[in-house]
Amino acid sequence: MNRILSMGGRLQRLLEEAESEADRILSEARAEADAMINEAKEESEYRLSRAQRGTGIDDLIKSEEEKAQKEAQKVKERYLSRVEEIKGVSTEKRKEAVNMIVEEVIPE
Amino acid sequence: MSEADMELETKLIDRAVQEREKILQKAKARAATILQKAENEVERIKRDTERQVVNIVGSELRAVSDRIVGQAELEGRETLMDARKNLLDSIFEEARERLNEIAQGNTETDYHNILKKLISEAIIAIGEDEFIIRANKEDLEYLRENLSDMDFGITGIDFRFAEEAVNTMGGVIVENRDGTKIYRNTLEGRLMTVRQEHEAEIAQTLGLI
Repeated sequence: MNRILSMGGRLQRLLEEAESEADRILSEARAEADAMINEAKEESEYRLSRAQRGTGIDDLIKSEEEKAQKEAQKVKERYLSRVEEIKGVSTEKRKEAVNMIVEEVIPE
Repeated sequence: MSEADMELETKLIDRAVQEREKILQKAKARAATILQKAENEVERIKRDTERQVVNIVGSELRAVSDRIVGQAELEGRETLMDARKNLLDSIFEEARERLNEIAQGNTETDYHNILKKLISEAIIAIGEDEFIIRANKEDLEYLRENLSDMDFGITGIDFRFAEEAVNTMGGVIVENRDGTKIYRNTLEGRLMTVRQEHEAEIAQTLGLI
């Protein structure tokens, strides 16, 4: 019986140690979380203050340039497609236009 | 130690170990939740920051975009206008060649009748009774021989011919006696007028507008 009581005490300590370990895990997690959030906030404040001074926005400018280049490419392609249409005007239309001009030049 | 005691001891150990595992698992799960929430919060802060930065430097970014896209628009429009102009140039060149063929008498069209109408138009526009006619060499020769036979439906008018021929593919330049009124009715001149007055209409025929 004494042996079992002694065992109970050891097991109780084991559980107390587990509780302590759990507390340590949670405490470390909270500290890590706080550090992450604080770092993000500091970075945010730094970035905002630089933006207000007009510096540190190179990445945004670069990203905007890339976006604009893509848009510009679409614009160029749109115009080139219209140019191709013009170059491909049918012989009938050309003939019709030439006739129209000649008729206008020659007096009735 | 009795068998019952041993069994009790084993059970106590098992239960304690299970309980320990439960405590640690629960703690790890809560820790994971805490870290996940923190990561979400970090992401939110970053997103909000980027939004605010974009608001702050918005005009600068718009200027970047406007410059690049605007330049492409400008170049595109210029290319398009060049293509339109080239097409119209080639159409008018084709018309000029056709008119030249007509003036050379290489078509079924009666060019001499056209020449008569061009003179008629000019004398009506000037509205006097003495005229000097200028034309190219071939037309002058023809007119010298045939003008007196032409009926313009107006009586009492007199014509003289300029000494020197003008460089034109066809048509006439008619002046009054003292040269104060000049009516240019050459084919080139009329072609130019057609381009000025009817270019939009012709562009429409070609499907350019």
